[in-house]
Amino acid sequence: MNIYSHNCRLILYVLLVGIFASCKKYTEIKPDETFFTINSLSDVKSLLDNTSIMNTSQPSTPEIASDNFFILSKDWSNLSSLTQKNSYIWDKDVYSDSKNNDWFYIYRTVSYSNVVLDNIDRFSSSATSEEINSIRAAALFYRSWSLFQAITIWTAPYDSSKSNKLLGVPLRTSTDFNEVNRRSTLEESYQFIIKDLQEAVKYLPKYVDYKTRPSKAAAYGLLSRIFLAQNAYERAGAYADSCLQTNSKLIDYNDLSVSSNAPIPKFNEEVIFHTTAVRALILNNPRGKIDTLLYSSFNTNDLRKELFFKPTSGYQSFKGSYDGSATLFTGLAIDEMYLTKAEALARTGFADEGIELLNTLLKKRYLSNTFTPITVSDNEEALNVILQERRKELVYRHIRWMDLRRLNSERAHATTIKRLLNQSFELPPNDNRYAFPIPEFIVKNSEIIQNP
Amino acid sequence: MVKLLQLYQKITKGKLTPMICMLLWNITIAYSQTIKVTGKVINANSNEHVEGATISCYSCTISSQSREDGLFEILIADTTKNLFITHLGYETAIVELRKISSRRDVVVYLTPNSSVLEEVVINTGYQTLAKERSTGSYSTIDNKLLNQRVSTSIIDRLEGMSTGLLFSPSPKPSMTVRGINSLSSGMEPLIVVDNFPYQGNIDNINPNDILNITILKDAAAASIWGARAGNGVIVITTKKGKLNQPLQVSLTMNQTYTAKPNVYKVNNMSSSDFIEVEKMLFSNGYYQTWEDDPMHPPLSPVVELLIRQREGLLSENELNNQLGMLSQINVLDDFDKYWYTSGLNQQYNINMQGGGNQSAWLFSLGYDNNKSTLQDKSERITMRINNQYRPFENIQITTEIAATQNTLKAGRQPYSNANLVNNAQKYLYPYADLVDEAGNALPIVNNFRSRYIDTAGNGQLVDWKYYPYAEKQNNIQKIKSIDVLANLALRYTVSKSIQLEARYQYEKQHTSSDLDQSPLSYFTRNMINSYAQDDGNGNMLFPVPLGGILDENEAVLEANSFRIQSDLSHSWNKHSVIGVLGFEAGLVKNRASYYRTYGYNNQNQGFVETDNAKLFPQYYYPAIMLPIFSNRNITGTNTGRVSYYFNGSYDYAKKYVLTLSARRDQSNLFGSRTNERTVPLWSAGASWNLLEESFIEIPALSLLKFRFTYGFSGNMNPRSSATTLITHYPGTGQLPEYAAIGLHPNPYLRWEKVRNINFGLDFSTHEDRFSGKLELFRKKITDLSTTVPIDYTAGFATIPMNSATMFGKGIEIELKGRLGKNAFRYTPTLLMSFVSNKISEDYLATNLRASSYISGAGLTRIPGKSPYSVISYPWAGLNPENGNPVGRLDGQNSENYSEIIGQTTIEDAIYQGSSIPTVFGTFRNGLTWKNFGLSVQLLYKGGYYFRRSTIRYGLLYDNWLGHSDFTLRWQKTGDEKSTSVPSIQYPLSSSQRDTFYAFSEATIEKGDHIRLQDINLSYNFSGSIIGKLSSFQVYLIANNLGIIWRANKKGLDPEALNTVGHPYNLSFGFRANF
Repeated sequence: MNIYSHNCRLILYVLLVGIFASCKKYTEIKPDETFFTINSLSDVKSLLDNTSIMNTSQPSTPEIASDNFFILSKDWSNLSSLTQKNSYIWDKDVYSDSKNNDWFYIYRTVSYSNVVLDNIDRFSSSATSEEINSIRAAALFYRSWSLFQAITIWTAPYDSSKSNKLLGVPLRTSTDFNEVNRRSTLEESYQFIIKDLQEAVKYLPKYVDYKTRPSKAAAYGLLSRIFLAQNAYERAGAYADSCLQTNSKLIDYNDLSVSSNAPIPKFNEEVIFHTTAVRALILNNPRGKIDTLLYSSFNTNDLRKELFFKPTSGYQSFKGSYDGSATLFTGLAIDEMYLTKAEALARTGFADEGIELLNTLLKKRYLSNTFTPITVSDNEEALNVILQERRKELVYRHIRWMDLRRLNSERAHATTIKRLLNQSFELPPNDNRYAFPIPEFIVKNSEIIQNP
Repeated sequence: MVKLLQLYQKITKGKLTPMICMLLWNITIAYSQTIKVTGKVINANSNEHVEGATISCYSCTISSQSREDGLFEILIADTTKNLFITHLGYETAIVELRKISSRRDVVVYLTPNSSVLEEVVINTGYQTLAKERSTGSYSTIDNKLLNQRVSTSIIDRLEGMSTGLLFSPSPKPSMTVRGINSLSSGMEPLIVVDNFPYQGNIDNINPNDILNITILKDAAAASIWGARAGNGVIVITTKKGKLNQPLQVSLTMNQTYTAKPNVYKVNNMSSSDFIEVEKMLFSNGYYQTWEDDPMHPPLSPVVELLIRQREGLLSENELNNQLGMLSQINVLDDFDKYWYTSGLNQQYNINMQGGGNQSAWLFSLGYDNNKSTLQDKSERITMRINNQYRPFENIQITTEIAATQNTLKAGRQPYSNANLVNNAQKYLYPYADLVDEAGNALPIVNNFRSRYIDTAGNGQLVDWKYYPYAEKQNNIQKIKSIDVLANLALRYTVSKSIQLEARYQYEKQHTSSDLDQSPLSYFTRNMINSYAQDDGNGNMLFPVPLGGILDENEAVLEANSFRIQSDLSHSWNKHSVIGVLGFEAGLVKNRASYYRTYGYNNQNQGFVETDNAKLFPQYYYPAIMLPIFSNRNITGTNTGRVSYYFNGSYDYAKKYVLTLSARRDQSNLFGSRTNERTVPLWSAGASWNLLEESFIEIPALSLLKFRFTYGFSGNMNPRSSATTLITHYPGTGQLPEYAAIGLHPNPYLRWEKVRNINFGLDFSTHEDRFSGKLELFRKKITDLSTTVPIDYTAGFATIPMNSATMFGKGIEIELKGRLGKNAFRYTPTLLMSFVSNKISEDYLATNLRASSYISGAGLTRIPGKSPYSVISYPWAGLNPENGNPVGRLDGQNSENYSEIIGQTTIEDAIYQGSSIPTVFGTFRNGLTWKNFGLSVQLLYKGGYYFRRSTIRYGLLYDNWLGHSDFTLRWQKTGDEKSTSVPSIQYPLSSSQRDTFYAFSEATIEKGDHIRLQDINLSYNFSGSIIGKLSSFQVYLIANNLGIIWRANKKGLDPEALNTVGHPYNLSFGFRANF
């Protein structure tokens, strides 16, 4: 019995040591099998390929506040989204009904970019510097794209005389949720994104496999937009030109079917960088109806009149998204670059060149052999025509808000928007409400200062 | 025995396992030849004759009893080895026949039991303690109490059985011990079966296999379970075989009838009222937007009729006729006739056990067959085999295998979800006619306008109508789960005071759920049509194949648990020490997968491959492009733990007891930093048995004991991580594969800590005529992990953080009586619990608007209030001029609803109180007269409030959701005196008008009520009245008999709001012991 119990003890001790050692790993096993740590360059790249976060959650409030459409009073009162209702009448109470608002969507994209920028150097030994640089450039592009959206929504329009005093947006570069957020100045905000983009443009690929990924042309296009927003026409034109250097091919609208419910295909040749807005019931058929003056400004031979719009109970609704669906395209496309370059030319004294460029575009928009090239007598007229065509071509592209903001600084092109519901509302040029209120929750939980 | 075997086969419908056949065979073949044994039974202490001792053996068909003079005789087979002599008041004796010289005049000595009544023992899952040795707070529910009710699930038998244990309907935690101890999802107690936490579905356990249940409530009781014990622990102990015990067979059978639920209890709006509202909306042009909508949203039959009349397709007369006919229909009639039925549950169980000197065994087999009131059919087979083997004096080996199979075939959908397959979010209109007079299913409106469906596809699409009554036969849902649990324990007695034990348990539960949506189901037909493509030449192509759609779900749970423990016990003079010291580890893995098959043919298992990457324009609105979802999904979770624990008690002269326990936990669920530097959770306790002191003498009492404990336990929270974790998703052809951030890191996350102070007093008069317990407790729960909203400029909106503190306190009173004598006995029991919780005042509420907390009945988390609270907008009645609800804004009456909802702060809002009971109790009356037994149990719940549903006009217009409050609405000046229901309004001046009223003070009711829970009537056929039976009991149980008093005047059952309610049920059954 003694030997037996001695052996028994020995076995027990051996067992014990084995068990203690093997149980240690129980506390290190990952809790969820569907989750993985970031441990390769392709993981990092996959984060940027998350299109629902990086591309298709773009803000829709700026378009709701713009003058492309109107909504009937009864439809307005039946809307369930407070943010949509109030954005339409420029009321202060927006973004309080849901945390899934534009601020969240924009800064979520910023945070994905930051996670990528934070992790990318860990893989420098296992990848070429070319690969690493191109992924870093893509992350910088997405961050700049998002921050520029934020600037367009939450800051006052750019004014170089005051841009060091005006408030910009928080420029997040960290992934630590404990870091307190503050607003930069407007000038800092612009300089930050311009600098990042100028860095990114060096390493972004010329061609991309998917139009949801940024290319060199996309960076040029975004820079062109940013300088346009700053009224820096020369540089805006130069970057639009750089963009068009890579590709300037336009779709001939004669090839599209006017009877289709979504006539313009997704990822078509004109698309440089694909993004779409989050769905907003207020904008879409059957509620959102195209501004009647805007609709009537389309010539009968203009194919866009039937490709972009369709009649719905006496009014027109929009169907011309570059997404090939009811989802609204908000990305970069070649036509916008034509218009930006044309405007820049007209504004810098090259009216004829600008009009010529415009005619190239419009020729592809009119029924074959019906288009008579536009001629103008002076710079002012050229600019007017170009701006009008810009509005028509880029309807529902979510660019109008940016255009309204910048054009309001010129008396000749300023707009007062009116809304007629049970009562009427008005947004005069340069109103404080051109900067949306920052979500109240954010103001309370950070050091971010609310807009006036 | 042969009869038994036949009976057995009947029960299990021939599904006998070979093993049990053999077992029974062994018993039955032992007939051969009989011999007679005679002898005498004598009390070993007093040498007196013992009358009424039972003499039996394994193979005996007839047991025998000793007479008044202690003499007995018994006929046994000549192969019999042992005789068992049993008597309730004595230890069992065994006569080994081969060791005695003569079979005549055998003298058997019986030693009296130390205590006649079964000693109350407490099982903590780690050790079994005598009640006297504990300082903590426990409740035990013995076998007799568990048998007061009949149920398939053990959990259903616990309500009202213990102080501190509260059951609540969803969305509140279904079962809590001593209030709320956490603010995240896991608020329910840890359930331990025998020695390890039970990981599978607790309904796998057959209640007939359970010996008793111990509920561990305070720190001293529960802290041995450390970071998992914060919500209390429920330890379930199953029946085991015992050494030196003759064969015992017990058989249980019962049938439970459940009454058909009363579907008319739902608050439906009448068809005529509903039609009137639709006519009013139509005349106001409300439906124009829907008519114009290119997505063809559904319009109700009444609106379609009105449109046809407008278009001149229907005369005024015809319209009125048709509307008149529709207003006669009540959809509830069809639900009453075709959906709901009475239910019937059948339960059979056999349990056999026996034991010799070296080994003991138990075998149990159970079968349940249930038919629910919604025509769900389920079956459960449970089997449990327990073996104990003692090859040497100091080694004991225990093995246990338990297996359960559950199958369910789903029946009909309950009323509220009847129109589930509906993208347009419409409820069932009250005049829906679902079944015609011949019993055929009729179509009703679903996703699209009937006018669109009738013409879409020019006859080339499949039928697009929705027939609710036919859905059951066209959607066959089957769920099957198998659970196997195996347990091995080795116990080695090193010396008198040291024992070593190693235990290993393996559990695997496999659940598969199939939903076969035939080509006739609405879901399948709708998919086929939505993806149909017109090829332009007048041909229809069907990318979703014209077969059925099969959804398969599979979940596997695998748990490994291991424990090494040493038990110490030592006594010297008046001192006694006992303790356990151990190490345990466990890993629980969950895996689940989901897969969808298109074109499925259940006749030949055929299917069709589909292109899951391609986008198809939807037939009803081609601008919407969707892929054919494969819905393939694989998930998995792992929970690993390693713990070290100690628990000891010291007793001096049975007067003073001191206890101490400590446990250290590590887990993969904690942040990395927490695992690195953990401090053990500990508890200490003391008790003082006053009557043992020489200087205290209270003649009336036999027991007076004070107890005090202090200590900590914890709660684990589900997910956290030290680094950013991502999830991968496949590409779709048009788009590359991608990843999403799944978990943002918070490496500091640690367990929630529950500090527990408990003061207890136990008393008892002589012979336990009156006994009772009083417990006072206080809790402070710190480091509560909540998902905290953060400044989402960080890119994500919430993160789990240890961010809150909560307080809990309570009183528990338990009083028992044993009255009457001889044939008549009355045993009343009163249990009362007062439990309340309060979130700390300084908890940072992230939003001060009341609207964030005013909602349904869920967790509210208002600083300074109960975690489940009812708060509402202040109510100032109805406006006498127009019936508008009036609220308060800046101290003034106001009808600006969006401002009221936007501006009302938590301080301005009315706090009514807790939404879970803060006082609850049981009054149980046990009566026995001769062989009759009667038990009546009343349950009380009080000190809480609830919000009732009401009419919301916006939901009525948009979603067809009516409410019977419609008839109570304000209609003319003066009505405001008798009603609080606002007037109907169109168009609604504000979409918040409904919200304001629905969440105002006006819809709050008091929850207090008394329920007649159950009545149990039984009769025991005593002694050997029926041949071979040693006892036989028949019983009749009526359960859920309804509310006998309630504080609300509306006749509402606070535990069955907005549902058809719980019908009563009636059980009849018997228990027989052989």
